[in-house]
Amino acid sequence: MKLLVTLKRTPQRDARIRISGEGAALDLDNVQFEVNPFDELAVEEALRIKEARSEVEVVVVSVGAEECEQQLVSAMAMGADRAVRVHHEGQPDSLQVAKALAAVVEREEPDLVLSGKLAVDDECGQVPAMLAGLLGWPQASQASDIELSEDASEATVVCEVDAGLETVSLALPAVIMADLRLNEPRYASLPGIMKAKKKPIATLGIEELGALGSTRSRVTGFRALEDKPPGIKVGSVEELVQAFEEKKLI
Amino acid sequence: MDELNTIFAATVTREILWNIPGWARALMYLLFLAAVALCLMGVARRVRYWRQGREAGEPVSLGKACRRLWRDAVLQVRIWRSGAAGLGHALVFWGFIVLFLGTCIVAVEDYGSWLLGREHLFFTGTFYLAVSFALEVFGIFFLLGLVVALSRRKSGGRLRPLSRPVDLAVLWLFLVIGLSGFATEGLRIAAAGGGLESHPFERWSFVGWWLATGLQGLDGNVLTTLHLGSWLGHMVLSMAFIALIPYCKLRHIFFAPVNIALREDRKAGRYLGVSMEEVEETGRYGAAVAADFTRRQLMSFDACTECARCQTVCPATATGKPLSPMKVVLDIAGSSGGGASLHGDEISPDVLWACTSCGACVEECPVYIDQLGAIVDLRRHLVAEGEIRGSAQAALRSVAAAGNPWGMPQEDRGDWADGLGVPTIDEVDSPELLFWIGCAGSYDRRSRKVTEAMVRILQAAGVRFAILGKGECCTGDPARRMGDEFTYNELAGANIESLSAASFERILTTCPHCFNAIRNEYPDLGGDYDVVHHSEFIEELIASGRLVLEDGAPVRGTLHDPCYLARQNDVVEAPRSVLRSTGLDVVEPEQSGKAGFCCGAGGGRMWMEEDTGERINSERWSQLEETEPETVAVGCPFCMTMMTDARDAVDSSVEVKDIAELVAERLPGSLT
Amino acid sequence: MADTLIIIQAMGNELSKSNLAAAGFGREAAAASGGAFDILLLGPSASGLSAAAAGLGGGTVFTMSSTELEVYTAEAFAAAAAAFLADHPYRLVAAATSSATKEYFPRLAALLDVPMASDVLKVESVDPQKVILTRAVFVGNLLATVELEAPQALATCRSSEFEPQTPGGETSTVEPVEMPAGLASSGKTFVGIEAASSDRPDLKEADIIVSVGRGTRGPDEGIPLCERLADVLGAALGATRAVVDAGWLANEFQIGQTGKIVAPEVYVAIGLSGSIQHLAGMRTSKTIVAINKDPEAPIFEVADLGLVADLFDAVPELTAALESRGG
Repeated sequence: MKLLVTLKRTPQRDARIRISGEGAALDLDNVQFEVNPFDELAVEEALRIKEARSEVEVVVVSVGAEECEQQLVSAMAMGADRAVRVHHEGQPDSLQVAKALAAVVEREEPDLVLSGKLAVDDECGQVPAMLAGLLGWPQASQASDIELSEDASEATVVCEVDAGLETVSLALPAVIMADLRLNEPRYASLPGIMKAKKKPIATLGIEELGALGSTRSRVTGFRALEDKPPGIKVGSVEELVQAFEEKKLI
Repeated sequence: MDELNTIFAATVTREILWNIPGWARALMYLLFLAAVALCLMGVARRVRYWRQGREAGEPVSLGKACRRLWRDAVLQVRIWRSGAAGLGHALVFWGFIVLFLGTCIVAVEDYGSWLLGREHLFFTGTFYLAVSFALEVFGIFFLLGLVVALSRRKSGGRLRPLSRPVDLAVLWLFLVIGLSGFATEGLRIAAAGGGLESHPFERWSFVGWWLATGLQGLDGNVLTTLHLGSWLGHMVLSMAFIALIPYCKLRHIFFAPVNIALREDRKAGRYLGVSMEEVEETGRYGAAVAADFTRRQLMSFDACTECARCQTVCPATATGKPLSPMKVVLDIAGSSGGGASLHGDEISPDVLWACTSCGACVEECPVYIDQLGAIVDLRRHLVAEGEIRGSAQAALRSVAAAGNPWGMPQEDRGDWADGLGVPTIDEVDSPELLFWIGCAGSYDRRSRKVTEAMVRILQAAGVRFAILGKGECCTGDPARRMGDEFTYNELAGANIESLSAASFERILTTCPHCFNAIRNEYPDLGGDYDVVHHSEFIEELIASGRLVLEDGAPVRGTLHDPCYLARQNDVVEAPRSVLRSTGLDVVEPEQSGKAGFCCGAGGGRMWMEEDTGERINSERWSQLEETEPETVAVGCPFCMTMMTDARDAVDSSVEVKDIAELVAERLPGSLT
Repeated sequence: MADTLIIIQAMGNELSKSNLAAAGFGREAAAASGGAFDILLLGPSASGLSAAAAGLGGGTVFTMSSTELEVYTAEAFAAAAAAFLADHPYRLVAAATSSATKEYFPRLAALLDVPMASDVLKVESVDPQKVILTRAVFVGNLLATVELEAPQALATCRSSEFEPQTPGGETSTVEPVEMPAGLASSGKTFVGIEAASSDRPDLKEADIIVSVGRGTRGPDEGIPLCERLADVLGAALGATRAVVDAGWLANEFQIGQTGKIVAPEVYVAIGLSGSIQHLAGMRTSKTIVAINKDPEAPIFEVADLGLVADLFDAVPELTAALESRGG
């Protein structure tokens, strides 16, 4: 069985993100990067499937410049078998990324594609569903539990939807998007990192993958949230109720 | 006189193995051979087990081994931490040794005289009497020691030993051997031909003599039968004892002295590092199977006497966690070895993560087992497998990515100093002190107040100091205690680079964890610095007159000794002396100084949930409350957090303050 | 083409507040483009809702339902919308952000090969070649201006940022549309749904939300106190991720970066410290009230009214005080 996990290189989740200059771009000079935490959940899930069965290959893929190989190595340090990087220097939009991934899927022919439901930087959450649309595969999002059938032809997924927990059944191959409560990713420590250095990373140029189209979605500026005027602290419940009344909240 | 000597010389002795028929002697030799064989087999089995370990560490010089044996095998210094235990063990120990020597003397006499075709060898006359007397005395010591041991199990104090079936069985075995020894002697003296008057020198065996006088009325045949029976019982039990030695806690008879003498030099506050090249080469990190330990580590685990002192002083065991240092040691020793994983239901992640690395176990162990070292090695394996989750994993990631366990921005590290007139190291030429702030002191709002207090003290004393500011990152202590040497090496390496590029005389720190890491562990990575804890430095300032404190109202208070300061680095008096200068005369809690009880935050536990049993910090707080303090003084940001939380949990109005804060309050002209 | 299409998932008997806000987005987009907006009702209750939808100010209300749309699946809805749009092209197609649109709208974008913007906060401009929108990034800490450069584009909009339109007034024409057969993907089967039923208002609909954090110590301790407060206030109940992770409340109560994003009139945060991820989900609430024992909790930085107190005392006291006012 082959599992393909897509991952994105995102700024360290605690990092303070500064706007540079007039807001045209971000100042990421002193920022460290990591595997998008939601994609890490997807990697962990793939590894758990691998550990529960025999002969499962876990391949991780990312679209980006050479630096994102660090993140591919991290994923392999957790236990993924090999990596593929689609080389792209610029800022591709979600649809372009999805098209690149679709081309990789066509080459690799995985049984299941796992991905995080959104990336913590742009929070678009579009790529995996777009990928499913391009492939014409069934999809499940906000997955908090995934169970594969014995013969790996089907996946039963519990999805955290607005109304509660929805269970769906997907015929594989399919695309599933990981949510926070799917699992708790393992720590990629020393021996894993040592082994990962020896695992292969294949690089694909865009030309090899076919047309991705032009970049049609672009961020042209950033600005900080407006500062909120400071609130007031009251000393007792009575005062609170008074304040409620004054503000006509009740 | 000559006449007496002649009489003594010739007839003052006893017939060895009197009344013991041939079949019984044969049985004795057979059982002896069997017992020795079983014993040697058992020992060989343990030695084979040790030999699967790796070679490591410096060999121990003869002089050092002898010094160690003198201190801990002869004087048995650590056992005497409980007076009753020291006495009891010494009585049994020396009683046994002398009785054993006595048996040897008898054996030499028996075979030697037979070999040389003489009637006697040396076991006559004055020698015989001296030996007999000594055996009586030490036989009584032996029995007394056993009585002490048994009674301690009923009513021992803090270091009370275990009363499991095996513990009681061993004591009773000894008791019966000892009593049957005296009984056999008494019966012999009573039954030997000619009556008591014919060998009055037997008075020197005063216990046997006393028993014999009581047995006078019995028929001669009854006495001889009883004598044989008693002898047989004594013999069989003694052989059983010999055979049993390596198969139960009695193995410490052999292995404890060996470990005491030959153990590796390990210190609780100084972990043995592992280089990345080593890991790459061997593919091994931490302990998964017995062979991952060093040979001497495996040997040390067999020295365990199962006294359970480590367990008794362990804060995790005391609060109901599944961790017991003794059990970890015994589980490792009891594993089948080879490829069998040590990790499982017994040595589980819950057990290993419960450790606060306080080192109380190591400090207490009378036979010098490094339980903490074993736990750390096992933890490293968990981390190697990625088996670290939740807030602990988040803290490790933050430490690696952001240089501090809370994930705060590195560029904010020097922010606490804004407006305080604190220069960075590039602004001062060779200052007396480099003030190492630490992560808590830089980012935690409560600890920042301690940093600020320390700055006020340094400024008041006119000390030329500087800070690294943004150039400082976590010492790596949390990573190391949690078992991630990779992250530790990276952080330590970066810090050593910054420190080596700077010039200063000494490093001052308000955090015992930073203190311990930089002082004891950085040298292994090439960073050798003179480090002082703020309690020590303030003591120096006061003693030299550079710092003068105002007098004020005395404060009733106590001190919670930080484990990494007092126990692991022997800094016990300095905080007390400093506190005295602030009017706080420390009312000692029951467990203080090097025997202090941990606050619960060490070993990376600061970043882990505590959801089993009682809270360690609450347990400590109750101990401190017994001193009825107005103020609890602390000397560590972790202790500060834990004691404050514990105080808040019981809604107490007792103050929790750092030593620096209490000193700063007494600075001349201070507003507080 | 008419400029903007608002797609509304027609599943219940009423148009939800989110749907009404989506119509508000439609109005804004129409104004920006100098055109009009239409509505597409997709789902089993399409015709049932058409009358109400017709009063929202749109030009035409299309209804589309079929057996394949009885149960929501991303595959069926994306395919249906794509089929509709093939015959009825629009410059901008939008829907309110929901767990459903989060997953079917990008699929739709891929089927149409058009760019998409997620969870838009504001419409800056709509031109024939370019749409400029504002959205939040980096856990809601920064605002980003996004340009979609294409003749057709998709967007989901954050319903708390747009004015819910009140039905009534102008009436649109209602036009039922046939759904081509065989569009649903046979690859997905709906198995079941576990939804908590409650008398309390839906989180996305409510004017007042009482939100609980770890400080409440769970369903046996502080949560019932907060539930009583919610009852008195007629409020919806929300929770932080920590509370849901601990299993004290189900996932549908979660507010935050990865839960629901809300902006009610009043948000009462009880026993929650205010992590960045949680703030991302509620910081634009009109009035934020915080009750917490820790005076330095980050929630106080965004709270309009703050009370530093033990919630186990303060919440019952507050509930009682409000009750006695007939609150």
